[in-house]
Amino acid sequence: MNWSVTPKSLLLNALPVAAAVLVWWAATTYILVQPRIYPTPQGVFTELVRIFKNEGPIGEPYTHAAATLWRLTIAWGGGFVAATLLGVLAGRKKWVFDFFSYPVWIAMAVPSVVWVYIFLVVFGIEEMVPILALMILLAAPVFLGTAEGVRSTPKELLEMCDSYKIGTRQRLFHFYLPYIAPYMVANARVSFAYGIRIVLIAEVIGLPNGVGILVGYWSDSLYMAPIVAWGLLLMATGMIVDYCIFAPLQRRIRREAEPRPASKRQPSGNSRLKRA
Amino acid sequence: MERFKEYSAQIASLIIILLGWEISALIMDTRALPPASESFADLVQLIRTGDAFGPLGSTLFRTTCGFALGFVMGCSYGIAAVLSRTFDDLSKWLLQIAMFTPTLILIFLFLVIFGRTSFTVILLIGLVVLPVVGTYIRDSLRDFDEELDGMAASYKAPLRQRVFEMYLPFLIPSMLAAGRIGFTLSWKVGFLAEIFGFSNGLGWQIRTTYQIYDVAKLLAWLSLFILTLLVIEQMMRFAERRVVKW
Repeated sequence: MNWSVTPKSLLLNALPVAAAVLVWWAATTYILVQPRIYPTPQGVFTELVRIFKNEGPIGEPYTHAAATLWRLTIAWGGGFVAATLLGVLAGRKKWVFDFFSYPVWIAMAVPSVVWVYIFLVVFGIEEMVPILALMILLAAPVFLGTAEGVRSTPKELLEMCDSYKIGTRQRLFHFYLPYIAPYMVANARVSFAYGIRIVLIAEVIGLPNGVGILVGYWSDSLYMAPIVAWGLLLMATGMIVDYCIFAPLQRRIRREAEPRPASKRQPSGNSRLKRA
Repeated sequence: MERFKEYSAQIASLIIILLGWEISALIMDTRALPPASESFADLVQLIRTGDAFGPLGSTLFRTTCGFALGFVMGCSYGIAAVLSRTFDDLSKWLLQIAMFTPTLILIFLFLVIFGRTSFTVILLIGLVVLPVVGTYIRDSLRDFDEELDGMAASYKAPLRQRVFEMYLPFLIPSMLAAGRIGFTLSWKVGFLAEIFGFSNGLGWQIRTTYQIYDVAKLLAWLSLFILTLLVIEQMMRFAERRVVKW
């Protein structure tokens, strides 16, 4: 993988995006003049400014954004920890993996809003509902990724651990952890990117706050500019977290795990999602 | 024996889920959680009266069209990105943007901007599937053995032969894998679009049953949704195994 960024490639990266914005501007200013439904770039920018000034129709945007990010963080963290632990177990014991294969598959197949429907009728309206719904979806790919990582640990080393009678604790920290660390980072990265895309879906119904509510409100009142603005904001958040936290972390851990020929085995964050 | 153990563990989990559902429904005894047997009776009735097939068919139709669109575009993207460095650079940011855009926002925007037609949903699914399939194909093509390429060049194999006897056999397994993942995604996105503003299909049925608080029916439709996907997935896995073996 080539990490170097040349000015030329940067220009090539940015060119189509700039062109797309230009086309968007031209289309909404000259052809589809109907700013409510076809928002102009300026309109979206105005909405962004309004969001940053903390002005909004139903409560402060900051409160909504904080609620959404909070839910995402809790669900992602909880799902990650639970799924990693289960995944380690599943990587060691084949029957655990088989046992969980259908539930995990169902968890991934059912969209979060349907989990929300089910939990809402079963538990009533509670803060836990969207978090739980998200957690289920985010945990599933982490589980599969961790199991795959544990299974790739070499059997000989494990036997060596056995013959030297190495304790569970030491085995976990000195043996498993270094091996599955690259997988864990890849999992964390993928599930966070996935989470930021789907957190809104879990929020549209049955909650007092959250960006999902705002977006639903604007969609009902047929006013598209704020929806685009929120989309841009969430996208930016996802990308910033990805580039500033996960990408450097992944590079570092890969470098530490370098001795084994891992480049082909360890899929990048993106290709990982697909495998799940 | 190994096979048997695998299947029994897999099926045990489903049985435990169903039993847990049934028992907790009996204990709680509220309308909020109907027992599993009631939901499945509803499901059987839906299938027997034929009511299930209308919504199922329209969802399946949109999903298949959208998936086909996204898959073709994704494969072409993947191949083009490997062939041309410039194209790869040009599309890099656009692809990143497509990957990080929240699905709900896309759904709302598309439904309002392009109107609530099947065509909108198909386009939407295509657009969501494209980056997923595209990056998968691109990454697996990059793993292609370059020595093989060199060998073909030194033997002066014609392009036709190279495509059909070298690239295609190499690509088919990853295309199938990407297809499987892409289809699950399409099925979900199509369903979500129906939930958030479409007046037919499985998603709409689920939303209506939720609004009238008919939980047994809701779970029956959801089971139908899951079962359909399961059947399609098994078919694809079967195809994958056949092809990979060959």
